Amino acid sequence: MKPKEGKEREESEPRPVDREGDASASAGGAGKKREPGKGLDYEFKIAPADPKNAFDFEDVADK
Amino acid sequence: MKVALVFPPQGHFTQPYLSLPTLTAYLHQEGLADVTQIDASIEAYDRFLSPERLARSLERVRAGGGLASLEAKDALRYTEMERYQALSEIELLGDEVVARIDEAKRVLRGEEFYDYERYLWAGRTVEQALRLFSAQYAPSRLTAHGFVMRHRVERSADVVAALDDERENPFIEYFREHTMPRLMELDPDLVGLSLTFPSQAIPALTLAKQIKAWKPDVHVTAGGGLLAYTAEKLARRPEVWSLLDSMVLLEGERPLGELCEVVAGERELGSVTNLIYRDATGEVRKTPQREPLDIKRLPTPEFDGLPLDRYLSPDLVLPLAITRGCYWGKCVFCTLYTVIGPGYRGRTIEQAVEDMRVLGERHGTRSFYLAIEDLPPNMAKALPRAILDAGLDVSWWCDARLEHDVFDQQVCDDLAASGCKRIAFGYESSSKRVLDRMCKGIDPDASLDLVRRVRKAGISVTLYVMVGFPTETREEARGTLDTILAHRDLIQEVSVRVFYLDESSEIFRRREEFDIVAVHDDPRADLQVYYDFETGSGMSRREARACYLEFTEALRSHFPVFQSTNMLYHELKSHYFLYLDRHGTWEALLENVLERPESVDGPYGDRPRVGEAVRSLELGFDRSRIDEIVAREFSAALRPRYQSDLLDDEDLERLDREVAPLEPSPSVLVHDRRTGELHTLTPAAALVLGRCDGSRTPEQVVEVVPEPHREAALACIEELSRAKLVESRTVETT
Repeated sequence: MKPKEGKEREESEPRPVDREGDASASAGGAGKKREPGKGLDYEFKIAPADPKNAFDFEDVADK
Repeated sequence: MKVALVFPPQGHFTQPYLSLPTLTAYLHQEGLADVTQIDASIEAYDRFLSPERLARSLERVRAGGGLASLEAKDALRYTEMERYQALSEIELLGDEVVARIDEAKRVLRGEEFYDYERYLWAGRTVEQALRLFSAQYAPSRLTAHGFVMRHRVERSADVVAALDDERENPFIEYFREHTMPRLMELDPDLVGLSLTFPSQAIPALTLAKQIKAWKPDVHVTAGGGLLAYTAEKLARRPEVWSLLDSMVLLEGERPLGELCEVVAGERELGSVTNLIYRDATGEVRKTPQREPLDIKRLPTPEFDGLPLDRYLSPDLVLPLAITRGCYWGKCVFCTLYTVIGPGYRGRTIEQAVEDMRVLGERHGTRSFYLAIEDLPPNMAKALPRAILDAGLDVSWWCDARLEHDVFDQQVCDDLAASGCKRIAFGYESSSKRVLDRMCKGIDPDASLDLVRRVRKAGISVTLYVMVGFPTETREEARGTLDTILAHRDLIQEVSVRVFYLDESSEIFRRREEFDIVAVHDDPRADLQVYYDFETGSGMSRREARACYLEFTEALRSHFPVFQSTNMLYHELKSHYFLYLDRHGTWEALLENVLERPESVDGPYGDRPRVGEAVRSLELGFDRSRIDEIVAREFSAALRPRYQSDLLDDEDLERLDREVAPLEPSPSVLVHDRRTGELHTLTPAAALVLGRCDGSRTPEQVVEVVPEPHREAALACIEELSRAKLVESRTVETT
C-alpha cells in the first residue's frame, strides 16, 4: 500500500514556509477561529514540540 | 525434536537479548533439540517501521478524520488534547516519515550513524514513525522502550481482554501475518516464550493464543525474569491454561531440557523441575525447585539464526553473562538476587575471555555488554590482564559495585587498557544514613574517590541514583543532587529512578523497620508486583516524585549527554557506548560531538531565510500549551512505571473532569525535514518566519510589526536561527 496520492492529498499537505501570508497549511477548522489580521498578540514564542524533550528517565531505566 | 524459542515484543531494538542464545546453546550442547530462535520483537519493529506498514497506519488514521473533528470543537478536554498532539504531528509529517523511514533505518545501521546530525535525524524519524504507528491503535503506545495498552498488565482480566482487542492490540494482526506463517512452516514440537519485561506480557499471550488455535497439542511454555515475579499469580487465572501448557520459574536451561524429554515421551511433566503446570484433573501444580546449573558447565551463547543485521545499531554489541546473580546480595530494595538463580555463580576468567573470542570471531564484532549484576572483585582484577594476554581487541561495558578497596588506580587503568569503556555503579544516595538503611555497604565519600580513579583511567562513569527510599528526607535527596552536580566533571551519566515497593524485596518483608505504615493493595491488580505505600517519616510519594522531577530537570541542564536532544541517552542500550568507542574517550566525544560548534556560523546573515526543508501546519489550538498540560498531568501521576505507564480509563476520566478544558488559540506546528525537529510557534513568530524569505534584512522582516514589538520580533529571528528554522547564507547543507 502506498501513501495516498493525487490532487486532493496535495492540497492539504503541509507546504514550505516560503511566502508571506501563506506560511502554512491549515489543519482544517483553524481558519474559522481566527479572523485574518486580528488576534495577533505579538507574542513571539518558539517551543520544542517533539515529545522526546519530555521523555521520562524512568522509561529507559530497565531496558 | 523441533523447538522454537521466541522472544516476543517488546524489547529494545538496538541489540539482541541473551535469553534465546543461552537456551539454544544449552539445548544443542545436550543434544536435545533442533532449535530455531525467533526474535519477534526486532522483527515486529522492522515490519512496523516499514514504508508499507506505516502507509497503512497513516491511511487509517487520516480516514478517521480525527484532527478536523477536534479542530471543530469549542474546547478540548484532556483526552482530546492527547489525541490532538498525535494527530497534528501526523498531519504535518506523516507522509515524510513514510517516505524516509527506510533511510532512517539505514542511517542507524550504517556508518552514517556516527554522523551526529544524521543520527539525530534518524532517531527522531524512528520515534515519529512509532508515534504514527501507535496512533492507529490509540491509546496503545509502542516506543523504543515500551509497549503499553489501556489494558493493564497488573490485572489478569485486562491481560485476557487485550488478547482479543484487535482495535488496540497491534500484535494480533502482526503475529497472524508474520510470525504464525513461520511457525506453521517450522511446525515445532515445543514452543518456548521468553519474557523479561512487562511490555512482553500481552504480546506473548497474544502469540500463545494463535499458536494454540492453530495446533492445540503443541506444548507451549513460557519462562524468563518476568515470570519469576508473576507466574504463580498468573497461574490462578484459568484462561491462561488454554494458552500455555507450563511456566518455567527462574533459570530456564534445565527445565527446558527436561520439557524436551517430556514432549519426546521420555518423562512425565510432573518430574520437570522449577515448573508450574496444570495436571489432567485441572489442578495447578508447582514442581520442586532445584539448584541452578553451574554456569561453568554451560556453553557460549549461540546468536546464530537471529536477524543480527536488523537491529538498529551500526555495530553489533553482544550481551554476555559471565556471572549470574549478585555476589553482594544484601541491598534491601533489590529483588534480582531473589529471582535469578538463586545464588551467585561465575564463569572462570578463561571462559569469559574465550566467550568473547568465540563470539567476536563468529559474528565479526568486538563490542560486548557484560549483562551482569555487578563485576565481581576477582574479575575486576584479573579479567583485564586475561583479555590483554589473549590479544583480544575488544570494547565492553558493565555494571559494578562501588568496591572502594578493589578499584584502585592500577585496576582502573587495567580495565581501561582491556577495552572497558563504561561502568555503571549503584551510587543511590550521598547520605550515609540512607545507604546504611539500604544495606549498600558503601561510603559516599569513598565512592567519589573511586569514581575519580575510574575517570582518571578514561572510563565513562554512570551512576544509578534512587529517590524516595522510605524515610529519606527531601534534604537528603537534595544533598545527593548537590553532590552529583558538584562532581559533574567526574560523572558522564546519571540514571535516576523513584523507589518502588516490590513485594519480592527484603524491605517489603521488613517494612515496619522502614517506617512503612500502610501498603495500598489494589484488589483488581492480581498480577501487581509493586505497591503504593505510605511512610511515617521522610518524603511522601508525591514529594518523592516531585524530587525526582527536580533531579531530571537538573540533569538536563548540567549534563551534556542529557542536553538538547537526549538522543544518546534515549538509545541507552548501546548507542552511547558505540559513540564512546568510536571517539575513544569521553573527552573526545564531548569535543567532537556533544559540544562541537554549530555548523551554522553566525546567527543568520544579513538576509535571513526560512530553511527549505521547513514545513508548517496552522492549528486552531495552542499546541505548546497542550504539550505543557499533558506533560504536567502525566508527570503528576503516581504510578509504578515499570509495569504500566499508560494512564488507564479511570485516570483519564478523572483528568477530563479535573483539567480545565482548553479553548481555541491558534498556533503553528513546524517540522524541519533536515533535522527532524518539531517546534510550535505562536502566530506572531510564524509571521516573522514567513517573512524570512532571503530578500529582506531583519529590519525589513519586522517592519510589519508595530513599533513596541519590533525588538521582540528581531529577537525572534535570532531564536528561529538557533532553532535552525532560519538559515544563514553561509549555512552548510547536508
